[in-house]
Amino acid sequence: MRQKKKVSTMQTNGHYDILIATISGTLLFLLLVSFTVVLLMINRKKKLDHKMEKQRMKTDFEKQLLQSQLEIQEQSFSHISREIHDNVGQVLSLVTMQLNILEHSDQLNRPVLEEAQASLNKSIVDLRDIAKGLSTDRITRFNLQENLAGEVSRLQRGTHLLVEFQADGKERPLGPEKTLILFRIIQECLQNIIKHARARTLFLVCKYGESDLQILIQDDGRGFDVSDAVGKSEGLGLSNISNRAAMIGGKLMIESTMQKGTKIHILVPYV
Amino acid sequence: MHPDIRGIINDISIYSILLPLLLGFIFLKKLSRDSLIVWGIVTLGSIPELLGQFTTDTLTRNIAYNLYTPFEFAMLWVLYRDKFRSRLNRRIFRTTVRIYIGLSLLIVWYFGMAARFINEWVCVNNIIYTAWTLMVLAEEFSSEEGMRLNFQLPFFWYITAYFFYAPCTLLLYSLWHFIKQNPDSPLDNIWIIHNVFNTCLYVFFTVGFVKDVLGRKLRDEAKKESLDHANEWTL
Repeated sequence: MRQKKKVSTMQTNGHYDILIATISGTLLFLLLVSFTVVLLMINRKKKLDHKMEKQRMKTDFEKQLLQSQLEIQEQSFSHISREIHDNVGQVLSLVTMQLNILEHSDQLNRPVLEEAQASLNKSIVDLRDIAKGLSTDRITRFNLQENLAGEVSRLQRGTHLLVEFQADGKERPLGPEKTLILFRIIQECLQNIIKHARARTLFLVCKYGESDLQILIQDDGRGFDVSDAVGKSEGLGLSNISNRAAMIGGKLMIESTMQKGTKIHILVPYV
Repeated sequence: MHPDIRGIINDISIYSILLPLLLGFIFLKKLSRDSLIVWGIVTLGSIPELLGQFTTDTLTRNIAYNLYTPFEFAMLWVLYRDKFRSRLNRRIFRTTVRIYIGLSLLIVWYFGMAARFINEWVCVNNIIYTAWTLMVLAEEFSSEEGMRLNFQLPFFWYITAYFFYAPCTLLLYSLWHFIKQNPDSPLDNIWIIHNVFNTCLYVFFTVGFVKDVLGRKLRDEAKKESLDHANEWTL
């Protein structure tokens, strides 16, 4: 009887061991499964956040691109309007006067006629240039060097600045969107120099490196405190420039010394 | 554990199948393909599940359970069939099906369909379901998009249901006959594990059906709204 009870107790103990082992094993599986599901959820959330961030960056880029295109278009229109008013309009008025002289003179005044012809030819050439400027694919065929050279000559004509433009290395394409945004960055830097720097000379370098395009804009103006300008609301222009540079994968560095001038370096990778 | 509590948990586990069964039946026409497959599993699963309550005939019960095992596998094969993106996983999937068919023939030849409940067969099923689920999850981790599984998709609830049920009841199914032979031992408490996971399985299926029906309702509303909008423009 005692023997039988002992066997039964041993059996019960064995069953308890199996019970505990089974429960432990099941709990272990449960833990592993729960861990995997939680990990999946975290991973999913990360991917979702990443996707949203990418989408946001894409939207920002498109917005900036559109803004740059509009700004350049607006500039082109005002340039054309100026050209028509100051150039073609003036020359054509002169031609009218010359034709009036010819109308009222008894003899053929050849020098006046030749002048009138030359003026008309100039007007035709100017109008062709303007028509080129109005072409819709001008923005998509945007050439950085040509436009920078144009910008420099515009500055030389319209300001007292002594501007020097230098392009080094073999030109490499950046892509129309990147080029447009970069051009707007440079334009904004130049505008800042005209408005605030009180500089006499301006040096613009465009260097095509191995892996990136390097732009240097240097002036001999009064300079400014970079950290102070970034911190203040006036610095919004700087942060805007910096954001635009980041948007095309570029870097913007500003060095400025009071009463000595400012150097702006822009690095934009080709890829 | 107190026998009454054990009995309640057992009853909850058995009758919890009625939840997805009835809900699926009510919204049968609105269910997606995945949900219809799961509803098919639930419907056929309810036969052995409820049969156990109303008959003591071992032979009938054994046949019902043993027929359900390959049927469930076949239905899950249809459910998982188009869910793998990578070629390797699709190849593994096909290989597991071939191995399963071979093993099943061997099992049926060796044990027969009526002699006893073939717990080994269920264990094989559970291992394969776990492997398939892990393969789907691994694809989710490695995929760039990684957006296929989310709380709103019924498929997420179905694979999560099996992902919890299959590995967590594996040990229990492997000890099935040993536990049955010792009904008065402490081992009898082990059924609670099965009952809890069984209830979870059917609750997850129910959530999947609800998500499916609600999702379809939202999609229909959006579709109607866009059609109305288009009509306004046409008018």
